[in-house]
Amino acid sequence: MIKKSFNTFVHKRFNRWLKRRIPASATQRLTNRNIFILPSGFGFAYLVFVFVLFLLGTNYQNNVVILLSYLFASVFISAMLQSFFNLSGLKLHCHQQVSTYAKQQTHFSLTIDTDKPRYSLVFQFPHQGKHLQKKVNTGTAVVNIPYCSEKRGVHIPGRLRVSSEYSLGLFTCWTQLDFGCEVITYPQQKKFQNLHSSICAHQDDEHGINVVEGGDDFGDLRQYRQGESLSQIAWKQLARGQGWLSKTNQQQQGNDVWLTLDNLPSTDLEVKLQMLCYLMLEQYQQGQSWAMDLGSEKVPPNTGKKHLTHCLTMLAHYPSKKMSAQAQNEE
Amino acid sequence: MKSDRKGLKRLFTFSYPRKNKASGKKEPFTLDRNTLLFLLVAQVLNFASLAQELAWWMLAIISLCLLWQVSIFLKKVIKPSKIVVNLLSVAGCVLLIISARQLGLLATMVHLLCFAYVLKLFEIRQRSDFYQIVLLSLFVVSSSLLFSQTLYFSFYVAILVIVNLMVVFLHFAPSETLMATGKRSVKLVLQSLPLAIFLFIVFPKLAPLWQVPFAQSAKSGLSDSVSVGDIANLALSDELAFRVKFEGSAPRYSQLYWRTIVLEQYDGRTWKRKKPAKKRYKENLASIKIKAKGESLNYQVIASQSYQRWLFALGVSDVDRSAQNGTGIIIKEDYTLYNKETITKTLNYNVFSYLNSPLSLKLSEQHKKDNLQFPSSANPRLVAKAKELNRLYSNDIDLIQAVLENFNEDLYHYTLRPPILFNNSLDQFYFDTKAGFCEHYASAFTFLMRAAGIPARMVTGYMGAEYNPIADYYSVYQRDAHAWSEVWLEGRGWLKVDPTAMINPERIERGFSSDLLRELSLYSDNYFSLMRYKQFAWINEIRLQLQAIDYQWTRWVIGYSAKKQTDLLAKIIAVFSLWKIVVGSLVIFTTIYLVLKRVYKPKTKAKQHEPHQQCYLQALAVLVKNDINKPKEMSAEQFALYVSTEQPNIAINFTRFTDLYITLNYQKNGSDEQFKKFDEMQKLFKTLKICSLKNS
Repeated sequence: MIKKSFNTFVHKRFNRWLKRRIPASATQRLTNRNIFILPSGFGFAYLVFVFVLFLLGTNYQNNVVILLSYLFASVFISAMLQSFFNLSGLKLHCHQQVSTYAKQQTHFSLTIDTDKPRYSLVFQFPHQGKHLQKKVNTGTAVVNIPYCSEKRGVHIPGRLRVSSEYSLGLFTCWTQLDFGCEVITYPQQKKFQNLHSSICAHQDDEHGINVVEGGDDFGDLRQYRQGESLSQIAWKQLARGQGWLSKTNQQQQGNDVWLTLDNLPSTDLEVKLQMLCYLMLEQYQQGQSWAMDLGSEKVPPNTGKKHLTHCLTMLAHYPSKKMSAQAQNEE
Repeated sequence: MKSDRKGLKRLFTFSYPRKNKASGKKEPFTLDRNTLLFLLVAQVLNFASLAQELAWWMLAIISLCLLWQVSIFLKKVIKPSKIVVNLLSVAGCVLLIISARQLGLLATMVHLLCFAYVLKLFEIRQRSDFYQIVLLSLFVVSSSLLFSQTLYFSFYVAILVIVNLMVVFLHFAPSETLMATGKRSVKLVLQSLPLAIFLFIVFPKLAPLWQVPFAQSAKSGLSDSVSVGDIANLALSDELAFRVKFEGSAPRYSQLYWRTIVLEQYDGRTWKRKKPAKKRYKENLASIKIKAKGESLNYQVIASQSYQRWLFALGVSDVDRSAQNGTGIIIKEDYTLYNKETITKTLNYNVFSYLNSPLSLKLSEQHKKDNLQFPSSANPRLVAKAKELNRLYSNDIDLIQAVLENFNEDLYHYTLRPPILFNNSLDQFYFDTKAGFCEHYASAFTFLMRAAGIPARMVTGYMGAEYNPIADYYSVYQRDAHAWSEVWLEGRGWLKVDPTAMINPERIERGFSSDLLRELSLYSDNYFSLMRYKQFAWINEIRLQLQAIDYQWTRWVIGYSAKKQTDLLAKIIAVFSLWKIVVGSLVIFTTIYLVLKRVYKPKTKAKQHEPHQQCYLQALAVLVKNDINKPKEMSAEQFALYVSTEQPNIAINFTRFTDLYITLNYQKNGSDEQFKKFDEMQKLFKTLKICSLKNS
């Protein structure tokens, strides 16, 4: 019990120290200020081996064996330097924001800038999968670091651990970098068989039919497929020489679907949000427009990818942006 | 202790201890194919370093296992199950236990090591298995140095170390070419070498901490019984017996009789060392005291490992007891040197020889009798010849002279391959075949002397030496093995008599004659021996050069003792004086530090700020005091807006100030106008300062 509280105390102190030592930044350069190095298990075994060899040489008064043991000992030190220089001087840049559905693998793109080849780099976010990059060539490279959030919300993935055991595996050389990244996690993508938008949807009179009235400019355009109704063709765009496109929103103009959180048939908020997400994606895939009502916040009807992202982000933030940020802080 | 380390580890991995260890272990570990192939190659090379020390059955097991591995690699066979490997290991261990007595402790351990090493390759399941194999490889390679430490072998071991490190490099960077990996590995070793050499020179040499079993191996060189033909066989060997470094001038070639073993017992077939009577003394008898007069000849002998105990010296000799190994050497009654322990590695010792001092002026009756003894049935014709000689010469010296002259005048032939003698009969040699090598002449002569009533004995050892002008030392090879006689004369002690000198004087003056060399090249099976190319000057030059390097290696690395270390350090301190060394090393280390710092410093261009930029930066510094920080990504204009909202009282001034700064920064105006603007900027800065002071 005491040990546990002591450990948490130490961790807190250490994390605070780490925050001061390696502050958050989108671009990080690895120097002796933020690189840690310690012998690995193999490194300790190697030291024991060197000592045994020294004893062997001494007991047999065999100078060549003694010389060899000294050589191995100084190889240990050279390996330490090599290990350090394999990380030192790396320049890392990470995208600030990533969005994904809960329990779905996504990745952060990390840009690596290096002036010499680097070997055997392992990237890992806390409690996440590893990414092993066997070699990074001189120049700029991009690596994808896997990330998967368990829960809906806005998450901070924590410090990225970049480690390497190159050159001989005698040392683990690592760093913990805070890129100030954020993961916006949408509700989990699930299929609800009997759920149809009509269950929660109601045609809203207040918001009227005229929301999309602005016309074709609002419409989401996609490649025209043979057999589609002529009325769907975006004539304006065709006239401008943009090719055969069809408007996806035209048919649905006038009967906007309102997706209302409160009307969904579940008691669990998370399930409700998942349903909402499912319905929204259905609408999106069918090219229909929808509006969203979360009670406190409302999104007017619209179609398209941008609209979808906006709505999903709101779901991620639900109940509200500020509150979820608070919850994050408390964590 | 263990929990402490865990705590420490957690502390350094802080916020997230690894998910759980069990799942981490389960992830399959497979070696890259290239790495695996290279590991196999390295393993074969590693075993080659120890092959000579391994029994044939162990070599067979190892080669079978390696073949098995290769077929697994080629996917011809599947990996053996755990049970098969376990059965194999049990069978091998049983074999080892059975043969342990015969092998000796050290060899058994080496066998065990090799066996474990070859079996370990069957079970690479985790990363740690791979690491274990790496450490085992390094250990196998290192342990081979217990059996040989010559320069060439050490060089081979160094290459093996590089190869084994390459395996690890390949594991971490499998995409690299073999060449690049090799380069990296060589570079690592070369980088590490200076520190290793420094440690070697400076780190105190410790005495053995506990007793260890020594290697048992085939004895080489002279043995303590000689029958005719033995030395002729040795003459085919190019193996190095020992090296000598003379202090001051070396004696003449013909004086280089390295006495090694004195053989006083003759049974009609072989000459043997006289076995000490058990009652009188044990094997480890005390050294006799040397009472010698005259000038001494000082030299150092570096004996190669022979797995025997004999050592080498010229004439009446004393060993320098103060030097390394000095106390381990016994001087026997017959003035030969004898090491207390088997010579399993190179041994240096310093000798004072008194070439003009007589050996044993007094001879006990018993001893005299021993040296006159011969089996009555042996060689009747020689006995008759002795009687006749006795009749002809009353003086012993005249008699000896006559026998020697007879060797010279008669048609005696000096050859490496004499006709085979029936029952080792000296009669047959002396009267019929008349062809033989040194031991034939020496034994016939000695026998004749004994039959004629003059105390005489066989001495074996080495004759001559090869001078290496590059490193100024002499080497003596097994082919220089020689046998001669000693006769005891009243008032003169034991005198050396070499009948070979009468038949083949060249052998005594310069070494092997060209005839003999030709014979040697015919019978020797060592086709690569550089000795065979002695006639080519440039090859000989290279040979001498290589030997000189080997000599220095032997002297300074293999023979680097605690005494040499203290001497060397004292010398260094005497030359440079202590404070100079301290100051010098400080200077060197600081320069290295500064150079490294310069080299590895992140390259940032030192920015030269222009006056207006400096002014702006000063203004920023003033604002910082009022808790207004300018984030880097914010432009000057944006910052001006921000300041206006935060501190409205300086808004106008600061906006104008910023404006001026931007125009100066980005617009090229005439120098007059620029100066005016800068002036205004400075004035504004002053007012800003006053305002912000008021604020705070």
